[in-house]
Amino acid sequence: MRVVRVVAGTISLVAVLGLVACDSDTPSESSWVDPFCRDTRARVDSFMAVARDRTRGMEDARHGGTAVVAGLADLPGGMNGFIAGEVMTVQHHQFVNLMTLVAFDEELNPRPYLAESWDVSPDGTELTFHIRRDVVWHDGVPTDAHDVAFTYRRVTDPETGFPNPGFWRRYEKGEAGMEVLDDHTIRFRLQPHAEFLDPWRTLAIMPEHLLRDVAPADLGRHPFGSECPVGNGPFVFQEHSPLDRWVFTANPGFSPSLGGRPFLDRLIYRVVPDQETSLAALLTGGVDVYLKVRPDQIEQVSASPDLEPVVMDSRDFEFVGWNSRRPQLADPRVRHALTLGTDREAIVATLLEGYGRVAHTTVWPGHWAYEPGLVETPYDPAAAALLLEEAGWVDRDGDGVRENADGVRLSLGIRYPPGSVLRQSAGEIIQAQLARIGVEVGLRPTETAVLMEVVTNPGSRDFDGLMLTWANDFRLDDSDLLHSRNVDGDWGFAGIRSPALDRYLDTLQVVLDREEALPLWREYQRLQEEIHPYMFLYFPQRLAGANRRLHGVVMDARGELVSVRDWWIDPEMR
Amino acid sequence: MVTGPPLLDVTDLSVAFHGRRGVVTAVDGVSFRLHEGEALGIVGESGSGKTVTALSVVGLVPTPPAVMGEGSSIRYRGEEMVGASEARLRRLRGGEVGIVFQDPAQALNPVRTVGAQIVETLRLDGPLSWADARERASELLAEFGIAHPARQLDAYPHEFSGGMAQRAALAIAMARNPAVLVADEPTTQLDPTVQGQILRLLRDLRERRNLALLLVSHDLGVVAGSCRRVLVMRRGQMVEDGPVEDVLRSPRHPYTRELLDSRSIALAGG
Amino acid sequence: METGRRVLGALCPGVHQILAGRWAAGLILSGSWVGLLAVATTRWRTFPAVLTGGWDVRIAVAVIVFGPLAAWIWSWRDVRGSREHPEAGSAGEVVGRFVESPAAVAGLLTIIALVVVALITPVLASFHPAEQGDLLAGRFRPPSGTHLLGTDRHARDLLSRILYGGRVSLAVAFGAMGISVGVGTLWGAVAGYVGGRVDGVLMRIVDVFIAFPRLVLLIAVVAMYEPSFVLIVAVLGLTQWPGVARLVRGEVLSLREREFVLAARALGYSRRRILLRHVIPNLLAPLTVAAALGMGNTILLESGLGFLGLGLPAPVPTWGGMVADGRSVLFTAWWVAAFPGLAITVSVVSFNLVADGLRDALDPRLPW
Repeated sequence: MRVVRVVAGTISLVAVLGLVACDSDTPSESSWVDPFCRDTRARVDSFMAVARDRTRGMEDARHGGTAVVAGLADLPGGMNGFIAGEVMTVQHHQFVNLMTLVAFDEELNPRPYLAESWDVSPDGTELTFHIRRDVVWHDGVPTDAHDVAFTYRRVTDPETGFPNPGFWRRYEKGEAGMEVLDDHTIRFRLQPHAEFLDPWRTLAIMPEHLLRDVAPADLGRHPFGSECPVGNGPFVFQEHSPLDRWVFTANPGFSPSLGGRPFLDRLIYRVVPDQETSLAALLTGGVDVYLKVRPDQIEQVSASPDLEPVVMDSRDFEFVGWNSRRPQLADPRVRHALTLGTDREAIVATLLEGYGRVAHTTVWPGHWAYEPGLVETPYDPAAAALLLEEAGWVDRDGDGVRENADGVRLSLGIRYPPGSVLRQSAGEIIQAQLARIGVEVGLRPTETAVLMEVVTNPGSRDFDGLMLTWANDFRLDDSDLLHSRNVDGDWGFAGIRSPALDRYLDTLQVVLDREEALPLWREYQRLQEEIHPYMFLYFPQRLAGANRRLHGVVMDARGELVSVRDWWIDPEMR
Repeated sequence: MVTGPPLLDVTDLSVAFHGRRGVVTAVDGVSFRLHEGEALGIVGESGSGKTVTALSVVGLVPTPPAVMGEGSSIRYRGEEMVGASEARLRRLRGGEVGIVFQDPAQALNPVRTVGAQIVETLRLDGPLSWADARERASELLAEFGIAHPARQLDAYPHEFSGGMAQRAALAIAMARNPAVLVADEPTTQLDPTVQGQILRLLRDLRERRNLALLLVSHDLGVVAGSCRRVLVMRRGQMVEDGPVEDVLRSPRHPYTRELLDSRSIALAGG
Repeated sequence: METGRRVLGALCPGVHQILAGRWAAGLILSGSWVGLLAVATTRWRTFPAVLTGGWDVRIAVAVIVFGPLAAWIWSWRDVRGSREHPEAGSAGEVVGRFVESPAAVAGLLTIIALVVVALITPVLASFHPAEQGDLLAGRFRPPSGTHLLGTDRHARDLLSRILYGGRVSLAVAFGAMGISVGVGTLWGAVAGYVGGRVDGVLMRIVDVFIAFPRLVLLIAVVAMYEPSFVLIVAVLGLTQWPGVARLVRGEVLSLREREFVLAARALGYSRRRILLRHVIPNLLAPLTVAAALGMGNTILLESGLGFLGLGLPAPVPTWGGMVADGRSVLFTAWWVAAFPGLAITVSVVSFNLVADGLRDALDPRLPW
């Protein structure tokens, strides 16, 4: 009896240990691989092997090494240009694995990329792209105008779920809007409007030969995005283990006129969801680049002799979006008072350590129409209190919170995605400061998935305020956020209906001459201040830390990964 | 003298225990009658089945694993108790039939005062004010020979000596004035002098309250001194049954003779 | 000398007991006397708030005013000799054995101090826990005269936050333990006493509950629903009761065979009466030990939740949340994380010491 027990016990112990051991390092291949992926990978692998042989002997001393970039979250949607909207993911499309028709240079002027040139008709209604002939998908198939047509067809199809339908508002959509003139020429029809090239800066062209048979509604879930992407950019997809890492290898056949193969042998994007851990990894050399450095961490980066701090302007702004449908928030005077009662300068000084500036409108500091001091709401709690009283909010029962004549308490719940110390701290500061003027603020960290539902689903907009970061494009079009026609759309959570605002939003998009547009921009910003849909908080500068062994790192308003092609590692420190 | 129909009429009682090792017959065909005011003793060694017999009277033998043999009958005032509902049996216990056990210290709830335990039983017969309850409990303790009864109400069982604890246990068992008292080895754990006191107490009780007594013991002397009739059990079976004097003087069964020989007996008389 | 001692004993409760060697009682008395009087003399200006403030202020003032009074009366009666012998009953023996262990006594004193401080916090704390000072100049100040334990990233007084956080932790712990002990005891007692199929069903349910990874479940529930005091107490309580149930069932299984249970049945008591009035009261010994341990465990769990950001929402201070806050400035403003962490440690260790002490004091050397 005892022998049996001992044997049984040992077997169980071994089994448990075995299971634990097997689980440790999840390989990129799951036990079941989609047949699509199996075929695709095989073709990519064989083509890349050939390409590597062909380019042997053409090496540069700077070639080689692996760079590891740490980011806070996995890339939702992966290399799927049809559905991905998250900023870091789109940067991977633009600079790493895929190609866009157009790219910006340091002065933010559009330059050829996948498109080697383009023409615009004199009346501005026709845009013709000439596609490069030397770009090839990583499985060997050439990239041409048909891929562009295919991509356009899908992204303008509502079934696909492209997250930025606003890009194409003034383009003629679908089949009617485009014409494939030959294998390398494609023409688009549009209404003339400002910054019309901007969508082509972020839209990655997708391979028609692989995805043409996939129904538009299924594109979002296709394994192509996260399991076996095939791109045509400087880096080839190698593996992706979910919530852990993306691995890319250099594309030896990348067009020589665009710089040829990148210097790095491998680029790894590692998901490190914790800012403390990322910093530690950067300091110890576990990662080469840490994006999203917190302002209070940058000092440690500067202090280390092996590291280089990077500060870049961004097009992001942090704000609290009010739901003006709520009785407490319907009156613009109340919204104004809330901003008057918050010391945003103090927030920038303490939370951002000065790396950023207070935001007053959606126009970001690098935008050509930006004018500091044009509109400004100061920190004036006394004025805020007066304004609230004027709007009928008085503390009638002495509990420290104002009520209106109907007895509704000025109590607001602010939802925000958890995980950011900065946002949490900003929330607490706002809470404490607004408490001083009789407004009760409850902070409600909400799971990201639930939050997205609350934000984008007009049926379930259960919130008073939302604290979010908005990433602007170079073409500033706030229609998605503020136009009355979008009130029940994805981003119209503020619920603002203002004919005046609508007029400006529409006009600003079509006035092409900047001199003509400038006074309009000024009026637009003053109107934003008057209507006060949001409490704008700040434009943060983006901070990153990079290991000095990595050379050629340039990060600016175009994005952190813009120069990834040119990164090279000191041969001695590989 | 015994009068009228029997309070307790046990016929052909058999109890078997079904365990993993098979069936053990604890009681095999035991019969006896107990009348009002009468004292019956059950004598036997350990394992003779005397305790199981005593417990069966109030249905306290757990029926799995025990099984009452077919034909077993226990009638209390004519009513059949074998197979009776638990509710009926509960009414029987305490109110009609009381039990005291061998180890008085163990038989009392250690975390409650003696007074509280008496009051709890008293309250089963109806609501009682706190003052009334204490008074009656105090009287009861006094009746059972406990000095300073009012103070002892607030004492805990472990503060009592063996004899006092047994008196207290008796007080609780008799609180609702049952007609029958089953005493399972009530004096075995006590000092000899205390033993005598308890036995005398039992005798007084019988006289005062016309109490019928079923006294179970391995000690023939104890039984002889207190009981008019005696039942000798061996291995579950009755081997001898009759008036005490007869059994002592002329035991019919060799086993009884063995028991007698092992002790010096004094007849207590009447 | 004797009169001197008597006079001193009359003036300052606890001195007499300490001199007589009764450390535990003496320290409790003198501690509460001195401590509460000190608070009363320094904070008397806040007392008028009783009229306008809520119940928490009233309770705090009541404790500060009546606490020393109670200590003085108790001590006076003690000195006068009305307590020559230890408390009646074996409880007295247990107490006697308990106080033999200095660690257990230290734990008990700490817990008593924690509870008293939690009660008087509205008067004791100099700052409101959510009050933010000058953000730029006042944040991350090291311990000083005005801020005894320093300030945190929002220029809030750390000491006040720790005091209020203690109220939260203790309230959650008591509430959760109340639920888990209440539910667990009934469950286990019924299962153990009734036995048979009922026992089987009840304990299979317990097994299912125990199989759940508790921390994961906690995190999931709190992440799905908005964390509130009631939710957290409920979740913490409902995840701990299975352990109590198992313990109680085991005890009841052995108690069931005891002679006084048989005697109770012989008296015609119903099963319910026996269970509630005879069996369960005899469980209090191991149950108290389990409860004390459970308190420590619950404080840890609640701190863990707070640390992960899943505890009560801001600006309610929780010790765990404060530790998380201070994590990023561990080397520059160590006090922000260190002091709340110390508070957690001290509380949990105290409960564990008391649990150990109780366990030793309730050893089988008992008469029952």
